Amino acid sequence: MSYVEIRELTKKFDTTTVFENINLDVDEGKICVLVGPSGCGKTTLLRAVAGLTHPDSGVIRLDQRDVTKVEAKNRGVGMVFQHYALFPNMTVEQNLAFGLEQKKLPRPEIRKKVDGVIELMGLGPRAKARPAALSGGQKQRVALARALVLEPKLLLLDEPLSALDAQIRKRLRDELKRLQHDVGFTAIFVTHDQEEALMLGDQVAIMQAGRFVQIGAPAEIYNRPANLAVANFVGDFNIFDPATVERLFGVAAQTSSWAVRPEAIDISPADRKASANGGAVETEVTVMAVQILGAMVRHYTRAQDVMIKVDLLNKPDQRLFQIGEKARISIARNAIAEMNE
Amino acid sequence: MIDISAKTRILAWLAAMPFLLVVLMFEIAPLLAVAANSIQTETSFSLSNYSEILTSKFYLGSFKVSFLISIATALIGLGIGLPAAVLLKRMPGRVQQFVVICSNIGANFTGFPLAFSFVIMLGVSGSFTLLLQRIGLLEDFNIYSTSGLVIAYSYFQIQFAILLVLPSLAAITAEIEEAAHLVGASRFAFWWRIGLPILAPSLLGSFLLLFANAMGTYATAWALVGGSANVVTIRIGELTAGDVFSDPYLADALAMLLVVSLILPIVVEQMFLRTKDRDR
Ligand SMILES: Nc1ncnc2c1ncn2[C@@H]1O[C@H](COP(=O)(O)OP(=O)(O)O)[C@@H](O)[C@H]1O
Ligand SMILES: [Mg+2]
Repeated sequence: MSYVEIRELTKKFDTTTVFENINLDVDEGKICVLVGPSGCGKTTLLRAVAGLTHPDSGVIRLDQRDVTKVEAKNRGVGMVFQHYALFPNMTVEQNLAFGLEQKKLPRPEIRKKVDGVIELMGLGPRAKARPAALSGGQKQRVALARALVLEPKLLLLDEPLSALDAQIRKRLRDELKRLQHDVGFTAIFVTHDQEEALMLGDQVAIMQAGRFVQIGAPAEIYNRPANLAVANFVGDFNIFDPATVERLFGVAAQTSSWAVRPEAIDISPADRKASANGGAVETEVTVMAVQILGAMVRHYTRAQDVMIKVDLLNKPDQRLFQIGEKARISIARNAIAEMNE
Repeated sequence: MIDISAKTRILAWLAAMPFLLVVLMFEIAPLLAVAANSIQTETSFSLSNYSEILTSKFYLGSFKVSFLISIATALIGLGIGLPAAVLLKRMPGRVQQFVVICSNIGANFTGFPLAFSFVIMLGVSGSFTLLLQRIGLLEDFNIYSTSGLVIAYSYFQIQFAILLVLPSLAAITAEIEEAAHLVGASRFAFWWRIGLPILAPSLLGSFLLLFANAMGTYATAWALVGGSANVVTIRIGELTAGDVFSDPYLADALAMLLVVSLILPIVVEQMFLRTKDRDR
């Protein structure tokens, strides 16, 4: 039995079905990242788990307890919103204390817990500030602290970083990972950023039009996308349909398309003998363009009429290819993800 | 702040000129004229108009009644207008628009038409009065009295309050309310600790506007109760237009005191908000 269990959950608004009979499991102490295009139902699912919207059917269990009909504030669920949703009339401390006060905890205990979380989140210098005086990153840290101080069974985060600029976003993402390691909370984290998803998630669930198209560990999602949409989301795959596979690599009778990462392709000068690696497939290409991407050097190559992206690690002694140069690429069989949709 | 060049600043002043001119001609100048007249009598300059008012039970009483009606109807306006606006915020956009249009009309539905409607509905033999009497909810009620004025004023004050409060509710987003709910706040706890404190400055401002609105109401009161209502505006009207009591200089002094009683609270409010801003 998983810590969080979502079973056959269905939610409709009037005539539109947001999701139907979906299932999701999250283990205790893990972060499950929900990703998918805008409008696919991520927020609605999160709100259903929080108790802010009521599913039409299905069951939500949290730590062995059926919470489907439990009021939001009694579920032991904390939530962090994209736009912080801090209480603007209260200082940082007061924002954190508010929930504890509602629980009627004794003053000294509230003080202790608030101070502990302020310390944990490095909010000490801003403890007496009001939200209006905080930067975006600080606001989101307060929002996170406000949820954590109540020690929720489950933390829900709805695109918490997407209103922040790139640098703060990265910092907060790393901080969140560290925090999760230290505190050990269980979370469902919504994002539409693939890097965030792969970096933060112990488990990544890819959602599309109200369905999960793939749920798995980040490495699995990254290396073995289940379909074209997942491949497009994790980005930058070379996609070969069955006909192309046959034409370029001479592998016939394929029913599924291949997805191959640019960095999984070996490229060598055309005159070099084919690699001894028996399982690999090969083809001749012409280098059309070379682009430095930082750690990687991207080669845009052409095989017959097909563009193939090939990445090489940007090491000092790396031999880079020239534009117009003929080359040979080879793809190991275990670098090929076969996709059925 | 971005530095605005001198040229832009001059342009801004020029653009504002027509407006400033209107303010000068139709607000400042008349006010100065009233102020000047208020320290005159038929024969000489003196403060005797003011001393007459401030020692007259009758005129002081008119201020008292005006204050009471204005405070009462401003509170009634907010007391009903605020919850109404909160409920309205939850309605679909089209319903909101419709109510805003109605309130706009209602807030300006004053003077003779309003008084006439009230007489028809709530007068001695008004349809509503008779209905209430028939079902025994009402023994005797007199619309031509101070409490009648309170009811009539409340009609436009409530709708004015809705219009004033509605925009400020944007500060209370659904997310803030949900965040409070998720950390365990009841509806009451949310409004007491978060909702009302957020709204406090704008509620105070709205109260003052409603207060001023009621203080300045003349036609509705006059149409409903004529000279028998002892409110400041009717006293002023009587002294300017009346043939028996005419004393325009005394009227001007009353008007000046009315202006002061409207401006003073607003000045105090502004100072209060400024110190509050500094605390942040
Ligand atoms: N309160 C609502 N009423 C009607 N439709 C809604 C409501 N909330 C969300 N939807 C619809 O449900 C779908 C999923 O929305 P949402 O869960 O917000 O997606 P995401 O968070 O993945 O962008 C969208 O088509 C949206 O229009
Ligand atoms: Mg969303």
